[in-house]
Amino acid sequence: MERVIGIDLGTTNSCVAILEGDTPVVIPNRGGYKTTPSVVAVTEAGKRLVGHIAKRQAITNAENTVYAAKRLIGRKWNSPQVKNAIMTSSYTIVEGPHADVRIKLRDKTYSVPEISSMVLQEMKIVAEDYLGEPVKKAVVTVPAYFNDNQRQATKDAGAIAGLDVIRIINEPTAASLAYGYGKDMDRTVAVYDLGGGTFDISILEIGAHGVFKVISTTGDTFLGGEDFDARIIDWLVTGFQDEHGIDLRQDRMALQRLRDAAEKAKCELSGVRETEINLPFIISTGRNEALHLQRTLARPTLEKLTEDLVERTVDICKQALADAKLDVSEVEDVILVGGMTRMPAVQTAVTGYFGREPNKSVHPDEVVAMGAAIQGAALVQDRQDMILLDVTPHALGIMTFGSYFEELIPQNTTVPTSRTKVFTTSRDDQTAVKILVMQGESKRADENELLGEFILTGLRRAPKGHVEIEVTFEINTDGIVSVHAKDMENGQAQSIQVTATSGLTQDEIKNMMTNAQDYLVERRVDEHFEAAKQEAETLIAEIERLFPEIERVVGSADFGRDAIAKARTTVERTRTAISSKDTALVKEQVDQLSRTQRMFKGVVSRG
Amino acid sequence: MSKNDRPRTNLRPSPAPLARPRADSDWDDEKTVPGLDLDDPLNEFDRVTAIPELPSEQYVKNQMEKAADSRVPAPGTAPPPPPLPAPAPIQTLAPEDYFTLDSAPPPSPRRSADSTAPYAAIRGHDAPTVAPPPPAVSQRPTRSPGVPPQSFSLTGLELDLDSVGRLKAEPRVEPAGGRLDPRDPVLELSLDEKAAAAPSPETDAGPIGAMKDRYAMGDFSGALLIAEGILEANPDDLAAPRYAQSCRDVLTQMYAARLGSLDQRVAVAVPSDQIRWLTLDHRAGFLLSLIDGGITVDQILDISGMTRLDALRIMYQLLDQRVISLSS
Repeated sequence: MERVIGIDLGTTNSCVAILEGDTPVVIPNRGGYKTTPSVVAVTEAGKRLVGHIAKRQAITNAENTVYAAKRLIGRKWNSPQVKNAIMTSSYTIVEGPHADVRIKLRDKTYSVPEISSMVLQEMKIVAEDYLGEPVKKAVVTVPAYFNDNQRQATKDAGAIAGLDVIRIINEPTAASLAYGYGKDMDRTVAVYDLGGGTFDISILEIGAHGVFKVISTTGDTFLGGEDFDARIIDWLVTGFQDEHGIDLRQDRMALQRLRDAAEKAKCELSGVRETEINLPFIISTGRNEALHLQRTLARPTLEKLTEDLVERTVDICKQALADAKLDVSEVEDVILVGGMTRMPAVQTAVTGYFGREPNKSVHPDEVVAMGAAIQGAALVQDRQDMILLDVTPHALGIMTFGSYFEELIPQNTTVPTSRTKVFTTSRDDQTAVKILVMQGESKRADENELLGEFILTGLRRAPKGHVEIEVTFEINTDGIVSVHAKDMENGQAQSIQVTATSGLTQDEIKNMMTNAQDYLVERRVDEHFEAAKQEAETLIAEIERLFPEIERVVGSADFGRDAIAKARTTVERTRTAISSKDTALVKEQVDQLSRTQRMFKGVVSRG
Repeated sequence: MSKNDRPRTNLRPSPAPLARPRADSDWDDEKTVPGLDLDDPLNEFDRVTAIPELPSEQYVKNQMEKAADSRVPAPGTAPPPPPLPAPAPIQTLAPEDYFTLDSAPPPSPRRSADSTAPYAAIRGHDAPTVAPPPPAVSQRPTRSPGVPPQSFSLTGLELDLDSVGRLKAEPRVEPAGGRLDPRDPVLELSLDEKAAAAPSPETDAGPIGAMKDRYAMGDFSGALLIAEGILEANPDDLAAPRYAQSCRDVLTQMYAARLGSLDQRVAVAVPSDQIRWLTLDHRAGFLLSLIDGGITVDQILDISGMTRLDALRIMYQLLDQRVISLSS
């Protein structure tokens, strides 16, 4: 049966999982880590780095390292979030040809889905290495507030990475699935998601038949673990400056080490009461000496440094409940998501506000990927009781007179669906009407997202309110929105089909897919060569170790000398093959080396 | 205290060893210096390979006598210019004194803490047997394709002054119009008044000459130091960037050869509580901080935040001091 992986494509970290039997299993990467930083970089030599290795040079190579691309994916160039990112990001963000966003790394420009595809490709490789077979399908999670364009951009990122994204599901929904919700139960749960870069709180109504309704979702896209790290860095830098008069922030290498050490200390303090931060030779002075940084950070100090951040998350929770029009006591369960929820102070704050212990039976940084894996398996196995019903993530409607938003299809309506409403003209003698199709929850049209527009003409001249126009919204199973407007008097009609766009054309996506495939092939070739080289070098070392013994045993005989000479020739040929990076030749030599090694071992054992 | 530690003074290059030719060396300029085109007005290597036929001491004595004669002014002419200072005597050093590795680069007041620093010389026994060709005008010297860095032979480069007598001196030819040809190699040792009064700004005098000397003698670290100093003073200099890049290429290959396969995994060989007692700088400290037991040399070079040469040099020093270990 085809395997489907579940990918949590996070702002700072990503995770991949698969269902094995009935159990979702998170797949570790080659370094043994279960999460991979969502960081992409290009070195001066033009080499692409993804994941942990990219993160470790994020400060020393800041201009060519992309992080938090999720904050940009699917957004338009003129959106306020993009403008904010331009001011705060260390990498260069430029406008694309379709009013979309592009990122400049070294001498190349990449679209945001392309950058995200590099992370997804990395997760694909992790899964394929684990499973030992190709992986083609995936379920990818996104924040509940993502609109259609952002979701489509995420799907495009998957396509570029060589993955058929069979479903996009909301992160809080995936987390709820992983906790076992959705099976014949009726519950209201709060999903508290404090990740590396963002905070999201979602209130879900879980009903029968796999319907997960996101009643409200809110958060702060610039509040996460990195802010906690920043507080520790500030504390360290201030202390060092007071002691030595040197600002460590002015040195990139020092700052990189500080950031890595701060994150490590923060994580350690979730389990111990204090930890030592030891950074020898952190900076060189002008007097030809290097200084060391060594400080002990206690948990109470960290909690004091970050208490306002934790309080902010509680304030946002209050807002989410107000939006859902629920009292805190009506929340029946609280699910923790995100590595930061391991911090004792965060758990205490959550318990204190919701008045109940949060459910933490699943690893908070793995739970979303596990939920995605569960959903992926259910789709492939056609387990109707487990399949989430697709719902519209946001309300759909049109703009009416006075710039108001009139909702036709409410948020969380299951698809396919169709709704009709009748509207009238707003001015006397109005002969045409402009239909602006919008998506969002605000009553004000300008606060919602414009999906498309069209004009219906040929209306009868009449006083306002006398001409009736029927507007119909349809969403099919593929999520394509069609809007029809019809003059009920003369039957004149016009329509529009709205498809989400990531800002990339099909040709662009195809080109990017080809590039991604080429990169993958090249990488696999390198990996095969490395494996062959490793094997060859191990055999060479073993043979060379046996040479003295062989020479002692059979070196005096002609056949012995001949065998030794042939072995040396094989070793040299192997070294030449390794130098020329010829994988096939190296493998060929490995066979000969294996035979030589077996022969030598035989001779030595009999000698 | 590291054995490589020594007071940092200034940018003055370390003294270079005497270079000896190999038994099969051919001192014909056109063969020993590939790419040398004597007709090429921009090839500045003419001077270093033109050795006169006479024993050097005798030759210099002759030239000094000629210079003393030529310095006597004719009646009514301007007084002679002050005599040039005698060239510094070439020191013969023991091999272990030729080059030592600095534990840290000498500081430059114009550089920030994380910028690249001047390079220390490398050990004499690490110098290649064959000096690479000088940088051409339009292309950098490259080694043969398929030849790995490990193919560099690491023995000293020495010059046997006794063999100098076997060389033919280029006859001195007065160019048309009486104007001295700056490419005339004999000019190097000539104390002729005209040459002394109007030294070519492009070739012989000062740092550029010293840079070429160092390069020709295989002191690439010293040559690079001088080249960078020249570029700081005069960013538009034509020769210095080429020499600097060539030195960097050679030194990079040499350090890479010393480290071996870049796929080797790096581990810290010193207990963590003893690291602070080593004599390192912040850049070595940064590289040490990257080592997590699974990282390879190549990966460290990718994320070092410094030039490949600097990172290789520091890695080599750390390996040499047994602060780190490598394993395949």
